Amino acid sequence: MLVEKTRSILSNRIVQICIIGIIIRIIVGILFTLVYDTSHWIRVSANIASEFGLYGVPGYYYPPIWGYLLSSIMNAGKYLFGIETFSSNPDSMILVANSSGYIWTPTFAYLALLKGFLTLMDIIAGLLIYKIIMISTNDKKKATIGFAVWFLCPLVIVVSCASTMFESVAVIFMLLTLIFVSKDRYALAGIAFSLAICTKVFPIYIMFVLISYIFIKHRESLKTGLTNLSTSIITAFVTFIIICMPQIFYGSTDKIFECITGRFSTVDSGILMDYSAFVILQPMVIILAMLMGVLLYFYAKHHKSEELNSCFFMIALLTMAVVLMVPAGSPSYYVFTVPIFAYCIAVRNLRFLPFFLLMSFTYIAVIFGDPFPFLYTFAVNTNLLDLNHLVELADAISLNNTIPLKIIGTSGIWMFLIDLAYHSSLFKRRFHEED
Amino acid sequence: MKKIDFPLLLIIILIVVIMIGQVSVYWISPYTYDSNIEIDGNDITCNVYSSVSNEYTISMFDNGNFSNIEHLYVYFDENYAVVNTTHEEIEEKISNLEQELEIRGVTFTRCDALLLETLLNSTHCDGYAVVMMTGAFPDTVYTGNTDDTLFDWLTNGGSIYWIYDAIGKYSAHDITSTEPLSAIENYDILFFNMTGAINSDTAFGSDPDTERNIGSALKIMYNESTFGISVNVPYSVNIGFVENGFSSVSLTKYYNGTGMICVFGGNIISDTHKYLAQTIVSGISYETSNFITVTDSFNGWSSYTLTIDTDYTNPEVYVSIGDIPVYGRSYSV
Repeated sequence: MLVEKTRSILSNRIVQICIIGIIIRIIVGILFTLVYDTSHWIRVSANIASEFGLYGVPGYYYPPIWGYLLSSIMNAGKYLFGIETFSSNPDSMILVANSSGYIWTPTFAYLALLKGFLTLMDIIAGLLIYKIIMISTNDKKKATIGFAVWFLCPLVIVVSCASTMFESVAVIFMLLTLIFVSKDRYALAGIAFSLAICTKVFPIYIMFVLISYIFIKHRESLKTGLTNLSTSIITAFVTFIIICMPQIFYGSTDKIFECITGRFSTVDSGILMDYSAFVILQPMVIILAMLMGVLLYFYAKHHKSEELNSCFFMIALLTMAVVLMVPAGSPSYYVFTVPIFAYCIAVRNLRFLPFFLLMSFTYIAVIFGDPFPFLYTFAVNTNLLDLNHLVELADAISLNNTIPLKIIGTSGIWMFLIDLAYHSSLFKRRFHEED
Repeated sequence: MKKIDFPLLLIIILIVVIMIGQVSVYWISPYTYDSNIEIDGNDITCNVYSSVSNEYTISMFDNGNFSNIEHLYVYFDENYAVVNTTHEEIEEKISNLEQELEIRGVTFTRCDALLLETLLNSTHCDGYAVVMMTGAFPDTVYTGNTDDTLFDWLTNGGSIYWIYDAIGKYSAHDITSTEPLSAIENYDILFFNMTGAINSDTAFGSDPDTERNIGSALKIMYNESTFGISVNVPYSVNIGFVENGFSSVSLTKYYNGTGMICVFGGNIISDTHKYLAQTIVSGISYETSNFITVTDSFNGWSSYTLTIDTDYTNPEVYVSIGDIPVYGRSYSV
């Protein structure tokens, strides 16, 4: 009975993909860790354990949700798993201290905890992509392909399990927003949208598409549209207040979006050159995001009402690819483009796969532009590699200019968008049929 | 059977996890720590408590003739010039230091240029220390002359903890004056009686210093040795890392008295306040010797008994908890 049940579970494609993805993540996670970012999470955890809050002392520069999750991860580690230390601090690591200080080296126990959590987030985000494709197509095979594209995406794997960045968490809230809106659950959509923005600010760009969708869906009654929009805005606002209550209470609201405002302040000084480009181009990016809302209106006009949800998912997810067409910013941002690739590859055509692989692998190359620091943690925790030798190699071999690679990476997005536009029904109707 | 509403269930679970995190961070901390010591003859039993799985480090050392710091002052005067930084930035750093000292059970008094002058002119020397984070002593106590109030105070046993730029390189005046900072010549001789005692090159220490075992036990992972003190300055305890003969963290006896000059090289970076607090509260000094330390994992109350060697004249015990210290207490035995 048990054997049969196990066999039945293992024969499920999603489970099989999960097993493959988890095995890859275990290997990547053991070997590679971006010690600089993980060091920050350790420092933030120590600040929390010292009752300094998230922003009371230096160390945490993101909106609060990831900090709260780090706190819950620490609680689980300390209470459930009895992990005594999150970092091992050999003097040898002083060799990699940099201008922002010492790099706290994570223990394998802490890495297992952190990367285990991020892997779980990857699975959940994959299941939400599955759900979205099911809503659009009601085709399990297509939905499974969408799940596989996300969960086995090299960029998603590296960002979660080597860089230990939390993009997947924001993707989850963004996808939940789309699902709730499509199901007319506007209060929940507002909550999910607010949580997405309080994790990573990027999902804010889909706001225009969301507004457009609500009004298109209720085009017969402007009042209903306004009521639904108001419901979402109110719940989003209340959620924001609840999430940021401590910062409001302790007067540190200016720190909530320091990851953005801080980068604005570095533009003048010329630091973070490509981040500067990203910031400077923001007005254009916002206009593009607004145009996506207009695009949804035209799409909906030329499609049957039952196809509205598919158009909505497609354009909302596409917005993330459009706003990330600029070859600037952190490679981890590009995780936000993976859902649209997964959606299009699964729902439309496998021909998008090369563009997706080009984007994904090129951005991995950007992440591993300085490959040797990724091995420091492995060297310290296992003594199988010589840390001194790695530091020498890191000094000698590093990719100083990642802009060309980023251009190649974003060219994958550009080609994808051009291909998509060329074969879109709107385009055909406008030009091909006229021919 | 009713189908599970996966998105609804998911958002509820995530909100619960997030709110548990928020409550733990801001409203009800699940992290509590405590410690005490019991003395029985030459045996000292240290009792340490943590509400969660953790690591403790108990250090014991002899502080010889050094008078342990009991009164701590931090200099800050918004009317006096600072070096290569702003008053706002220094306020923030002092606030960070305050928090780190608080978790180690220590409070300090802020002093402006006038209060500093009053303190340094008083007989309060032994057991008194001033933290300097502004890059310059005010002209009320230091003008670059050997008969300055500062040097009398150091002679009589006062202690200085210095971080930011080179110690003694500038004398600060009122910010409204035409020249708010005066450069002082031969400042290395004034403080250490040695030419070239202070590093003027940018440097990061890579080799463990002579008393690195102390720094390692106290988890002081600091290697900025720009403006650091030469390892050749006599009567020093160097607990950091060395580069080109300059240490990143030095505790040095004032050459013309019993006072202490503790210098952290470099400028204030993200974790400096942690290391500075750990150094101050642990009570280590240029007299520190026979340093022993023990580290172990624990959850709840745990005890460890140390035996004081008969050689110890001024034993001190320092208890700290956490791989990055989140708690510290110093005990004079």
